[in-house]
Amino acid sequence: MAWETIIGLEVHVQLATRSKMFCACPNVFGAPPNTLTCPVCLGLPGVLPALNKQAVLFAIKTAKALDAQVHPCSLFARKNYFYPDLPKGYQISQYEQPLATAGKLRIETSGGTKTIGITRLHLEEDAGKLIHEAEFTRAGASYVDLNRTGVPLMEIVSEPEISTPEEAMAYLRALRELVRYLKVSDGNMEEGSLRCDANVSVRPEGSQTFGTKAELKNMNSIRFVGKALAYEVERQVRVLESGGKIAQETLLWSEKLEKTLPMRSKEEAHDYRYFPEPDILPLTIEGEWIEALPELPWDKRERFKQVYDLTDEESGILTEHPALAEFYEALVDAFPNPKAASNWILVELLKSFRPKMNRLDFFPAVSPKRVARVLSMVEEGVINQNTAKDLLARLLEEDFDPEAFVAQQGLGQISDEKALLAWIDELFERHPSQVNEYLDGKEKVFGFFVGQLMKMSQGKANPRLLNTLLKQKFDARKGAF
Amino acid sequence: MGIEREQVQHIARLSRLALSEEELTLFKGQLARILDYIGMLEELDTSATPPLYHPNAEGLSFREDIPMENGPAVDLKCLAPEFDEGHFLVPSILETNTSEQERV
Ligand SMILES: [Zn+2]
Repeated sequence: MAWETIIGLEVHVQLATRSKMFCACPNVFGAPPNTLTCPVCLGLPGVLPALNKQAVLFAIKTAKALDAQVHPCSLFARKNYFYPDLPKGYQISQYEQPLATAGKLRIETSGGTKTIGITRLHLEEDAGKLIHEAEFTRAGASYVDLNRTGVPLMEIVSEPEISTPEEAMAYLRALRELVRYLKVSDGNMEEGSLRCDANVSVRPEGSQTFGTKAELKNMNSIRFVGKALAYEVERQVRVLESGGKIAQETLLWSEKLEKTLPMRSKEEAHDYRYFPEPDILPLTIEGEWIEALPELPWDKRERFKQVYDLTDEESGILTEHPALAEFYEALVDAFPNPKAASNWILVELLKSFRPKMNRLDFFPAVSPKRVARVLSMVEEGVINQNTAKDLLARLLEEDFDPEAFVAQQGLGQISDEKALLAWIDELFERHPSQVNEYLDGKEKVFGFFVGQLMKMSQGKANPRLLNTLLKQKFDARKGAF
Repeated sequence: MGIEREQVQHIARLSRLALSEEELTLFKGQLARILDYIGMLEELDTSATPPLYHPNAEGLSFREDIPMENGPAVDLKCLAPEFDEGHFLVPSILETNTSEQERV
């Protein structure tokens, strides 16, 4: 039987505000445990939460970019559950009237473009962190760090319209890219700025009813989401084909075991007893809060393809991070050869950019103007490609004037025919047998001579000129026979 | 409007409250009276009245996104029965045998 997969994703995005959602504690990652806490986020009695306006603005911005309907009035609610990472015993969230509904997100997969519906987008606060089995922990105890408690989160729920693990990964990539473009989150999954839960079920192809779904948690990279979903789909099909039934349960992805495992059930975990949050009044959204959006990733990608004549892949990579796209455009401004500029970035510079690109504030350490001057020197034949590579590598380390450096260090390409011819003569004298081999028709030996000449010129010989001169010399020898 | 003994037990369990038999009886009675009162309110026809979310008519007041560098000093150690290495300690919570923590 053919099976159809149905996936819905719930993504929690930590917002890049400077302070927490309901108190003024700093919102930063990696501080010593429990140092970013106050009576509000510790859940001490008698405190009053005060809503961070910036968090609301970030959520509205994202909702608009997702083409969702932002509601003029939305409500906060208490979601009650008992767990040590939640000192108040409830999470302030939005339930019946969320901030926004009915959006959409376009994703790109190998099968083409697809639009996934967004059911809702709402604001809530993050919970703390539990630590087990760290170096300092002792057996039988879990350690609680409440620095993350009260950090603003945006929950984005998709329609169950994702049909493959690959689409789920594409959805997450698109969402991560979007929040980075909007500068509302760094979208860094390893640090938990973007977290994903998935609902997944399978059903016979063509069936109109949904199968029983399982909920997958604990996937902290896009790759793990792909692996966990692929594993779970296969497992469900196997169970159903052998006549079994899927249990509605919560599963955790274990990277160690490469399988999904049932979570030791939180007793009646889903009985949250929501009720309106009495401490926070309804959120009414004023028209002037809706800011103009920056150019969105899909629009930028299209423009790059058209304006700079790039392939899907090239424009896809160059627009992955707004700072990289900005760098590219500044480079093309100073070095108006878009194709070559793209090649140099993709082949030479990305290696050093990539690891830093998961920061919201990522900006390439090297000035695009300096890079443009190196590339111009290549185009004008002043230096060769190898020298350019070395220069770029150095520029990433320290700032210097590339032209002055080339002149000073004598790195300029050697296009002096006399010098090159003298080296060729010297080489022919040193290796008469190889010369004869070439003249006898062993063309491969040509490469040997090029290599030796490059060595003699310390890599600076103009390769095109070198080839021409070498050919001429050989032809002269042939004629002499 | 009544409430069953089991429902009271269920709510107590969700709140991690251990109630004695006497307390169960006591709260069952109190909750039943609260529900009766709500039932009475529900007899009113309010279909033409817009819902009142909050008695404060001033509207929501916001906080600007300014972090405070030194928050009010809270002696964290006093807040929990056990405190160690800067952390609050609770009985071990492991969601699976592979000791991976759950994220909300
Ligand atoms: Zn706080």
